[in-house]
Amino acid sequence: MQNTLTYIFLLPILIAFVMLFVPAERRSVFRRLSLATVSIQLLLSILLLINFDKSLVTDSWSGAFQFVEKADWIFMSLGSIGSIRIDYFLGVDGISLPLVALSTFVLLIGVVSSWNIQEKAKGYFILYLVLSSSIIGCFIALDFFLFYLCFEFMLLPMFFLIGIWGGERRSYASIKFFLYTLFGSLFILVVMIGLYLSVVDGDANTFSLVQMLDGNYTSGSVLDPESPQLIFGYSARALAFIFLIIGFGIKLPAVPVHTWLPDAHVEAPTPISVVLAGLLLKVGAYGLLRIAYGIFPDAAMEYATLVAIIGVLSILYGGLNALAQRDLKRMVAYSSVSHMGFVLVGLASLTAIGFSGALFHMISHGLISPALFLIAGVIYDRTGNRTMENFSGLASKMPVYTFFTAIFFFAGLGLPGLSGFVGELMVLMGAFGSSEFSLWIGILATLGIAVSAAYFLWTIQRMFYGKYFVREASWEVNMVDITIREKLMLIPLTILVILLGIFPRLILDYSNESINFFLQQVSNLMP
Amino acid sequence: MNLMDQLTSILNDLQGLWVETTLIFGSILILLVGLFRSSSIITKLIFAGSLLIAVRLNISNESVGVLLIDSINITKPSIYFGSLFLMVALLILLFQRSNKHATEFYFFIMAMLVGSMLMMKADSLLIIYLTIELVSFSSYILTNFTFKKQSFEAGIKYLLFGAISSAIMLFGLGLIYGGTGIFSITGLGEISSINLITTVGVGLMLVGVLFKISIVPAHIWVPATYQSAPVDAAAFMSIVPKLAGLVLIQRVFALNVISNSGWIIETVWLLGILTIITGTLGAFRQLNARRMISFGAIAHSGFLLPFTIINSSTSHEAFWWYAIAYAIMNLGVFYMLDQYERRNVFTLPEYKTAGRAVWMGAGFTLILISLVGLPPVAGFMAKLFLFSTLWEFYLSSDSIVVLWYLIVAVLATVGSLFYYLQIPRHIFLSKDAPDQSIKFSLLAKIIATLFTIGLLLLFFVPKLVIVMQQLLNNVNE
Repeated sequence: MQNTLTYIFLLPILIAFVMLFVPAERRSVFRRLSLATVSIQLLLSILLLINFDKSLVTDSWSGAFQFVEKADWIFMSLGSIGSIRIDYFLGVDGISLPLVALSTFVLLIGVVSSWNIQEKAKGYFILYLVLSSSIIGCFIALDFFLFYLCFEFMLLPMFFLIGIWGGERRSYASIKFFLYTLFGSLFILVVMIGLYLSVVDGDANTFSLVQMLDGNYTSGSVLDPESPQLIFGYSARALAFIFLIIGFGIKLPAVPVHTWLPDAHVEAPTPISVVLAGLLLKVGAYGLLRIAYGIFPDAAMEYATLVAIIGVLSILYGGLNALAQRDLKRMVAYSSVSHMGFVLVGLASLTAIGFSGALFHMISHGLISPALFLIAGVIYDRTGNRTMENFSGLASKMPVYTFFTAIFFFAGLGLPGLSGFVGELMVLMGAFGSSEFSLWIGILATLGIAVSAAYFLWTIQRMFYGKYFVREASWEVNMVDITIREKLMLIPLTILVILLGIFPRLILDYSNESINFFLQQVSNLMP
Repeated sequence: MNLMDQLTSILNDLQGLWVETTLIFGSILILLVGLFRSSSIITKLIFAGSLLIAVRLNISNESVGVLLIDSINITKPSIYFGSLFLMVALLILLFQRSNKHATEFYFFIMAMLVGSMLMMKADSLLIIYLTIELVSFSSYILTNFTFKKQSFEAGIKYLLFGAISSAIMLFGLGLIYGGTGIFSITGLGEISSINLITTVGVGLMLVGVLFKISIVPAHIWVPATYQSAPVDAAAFMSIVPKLAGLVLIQRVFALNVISNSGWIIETVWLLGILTIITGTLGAFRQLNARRMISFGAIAHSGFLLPFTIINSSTSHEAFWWYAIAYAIMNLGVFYMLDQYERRNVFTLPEYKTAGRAVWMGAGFTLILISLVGLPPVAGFMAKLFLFSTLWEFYLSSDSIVVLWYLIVAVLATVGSLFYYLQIPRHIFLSKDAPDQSIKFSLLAKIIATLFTIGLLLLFFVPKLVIVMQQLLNNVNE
């Protein structure tokens, strides 16, 4: 199992580099190579899942990670800061491994969904592979610098993927996306520098996330919990936590910094929406979990109510917005905002079940939202239109399509037996059982489920029930039921959503020990 | 000391100035050859030859310290920055240049180079003044070297601003001499009691230098000058005199004249913040690509300024790092602008005609991303070191203005993304892009690729820069 993580991480970059030298006319080469690459990634991540030791119990973060790879990358002495030390440091624990597996799976779906990209196929697949490398990198990096590198490097491919292959207002949407995320990531950068100046490995300052999680602070440094320091009159650690909430909150996205998401989704081509909703949002959530909550649990406790309120706001505001949309894809985009709110509430609860629920919900939403975007893409591919009132009675014309739509809509609204239910239930149990904030948070979050039921069911009623009707006569010829390729993408997603719904241990077994240890560390650091 | 001893000591000290001497002889040779031949190849050969000899001499230079009766102070930074300047001047040859006026062009570049090299080493106030004037006058003339009405206008504007600021500076020098009777920076560093006249004098002297580094409010000449000067001259002006001024000012800021009177430093911090804001906001509404990049260069002056004020070893190494990254980025970006302008692409909307030239467009994007300061290119490391330096200095000094500097620098980075991104946006994201696209020569593509490889390399192996510095240092010891 040696170096498997490196293969998963760097293989796409290598293939992308090879693609540079393939002439652009040979269009089908690119998609085949991409498919092969991502399939290998998926196989490798399954290998990791099989070989992962679920019962590993440790007493410090440095022993908590498996398949660890470490090599010197940058080591230079820089004046009085001492030596800068950046490692090529990879590893996974029970929290990140399911996310890695999810990523490789969704990326594969994305390639299949990109099969018909003809225009500038070379550039498209090169950017796609670079993107896939950086997404995986975020989940497996154990060095903050490496994490930040991958986190930032997702932006550039994404900018071009939305900006070149996107819809009508793509230029606006892609720049908005880039600016918002960069704005957030600079907050993260400032915290990273602060942590770097505070945390030591031996006697050299380090970017190692493991050392930061273990809390090896130089005494008297700015982020040392033992010696509280004030910046602008606020505690430095609290400020750092807030900065991280802003930075990752934009990526998540949380209300009120979510406005880039509907634009980006609506303009992005279907496969990119799939990756964006399925994975990029999870990177934000993972950053919150691993970095904001892992390194600043004291501040997290202090601001639990604030985070929970942001979460509930996202759930309700995102849900109500989804209710008001006429564009199917926009509705799905707002439902993502609403669902990511549950992750925030779960994290804020600081309970084992809330944390597990947040992680489970991330995985479950990482399966449901790609499916929802694929469903929106099916209609758009056939008609070039997604406005809900232009369609009605599709159930009679496209029964298989209706079947899949129903499954994923129900999964989205949290029907028992499907994966969405388990995540939401666990988050709510965490919220009600939490001592950090009042019952109201839980009650309002529950209300959010009702809202999601409203917009999903109403959409089904408007588009699929009633008399068959499409707005333009010219669309009529295209209204065929879903193709083999579309089934190829939706069936695996359906199986996984059902499987996780009735057998959530598939994920929870991996994360249990890690989350227990995580919360044990948190409670150790609590005063 | 009798006359003979003085003469021998002067002769000994002159060894420290072999580099500049070589350059001066080289420039005279260029002029002489220009009298007889019109081919630019020989001119370029002489130019490159004297630069290479100068690099060799610069590396093997052994005299460090105050030379020539307090006129020159050769410091270590002045030596390794000297090597950087010579390299930049060599890279100027990559730009295409027609035979017309090649002699004069390279002569003035050489003059500006000599001025900049001496400016870093100047110790006597008089030498400071003279070198700044030497650099300024060559810049005024080079600005006008496209021989268009627009560049004539820019040249006059530049000349007027330059004249005023050098007059103010001269006044400051007079006050310093009047207040202390001392005429060198090392001398100023040794006096213990400082009167108000001296402090005001040093403040006024800074005006002349800040003008060269284009710190607000002495930045107004920059956009017009960079926009209408020949591209290679603009690239050179945006790098070498600016960095030389910064190296000089670093020594001035270390004086206790300045550290004892808080207000000068406070003012400079504030001016730095204003520079970043002005450069960033100014770039937003530009339509001409080169003008936009010029505003970006103003903002970069603001990013470079803290390294000269903060006197720590982190800051010194970060300064060297930022300087190298800045030099490569600016050479690269001006080279790209030149290539596009040669194909009649000047304003941002015109960039959509280049949509099919993907390779050049991608290279250009990476260089611009580096100017913003995003990974995985050198600009990110430079920004990282800048932020670290500011953070560290804030923690040790608790000065609130430094924290604001950091905040403004971070926000300006986001802002700069918006305008730097306009170019890739118009190249790749335009809807009504014409089918016919401009094409680039293979040579241009290769050079563009080399610039981007350089930037990528500096990101992944940042140690290179430090190794280079140590290499230059070790030879001296």
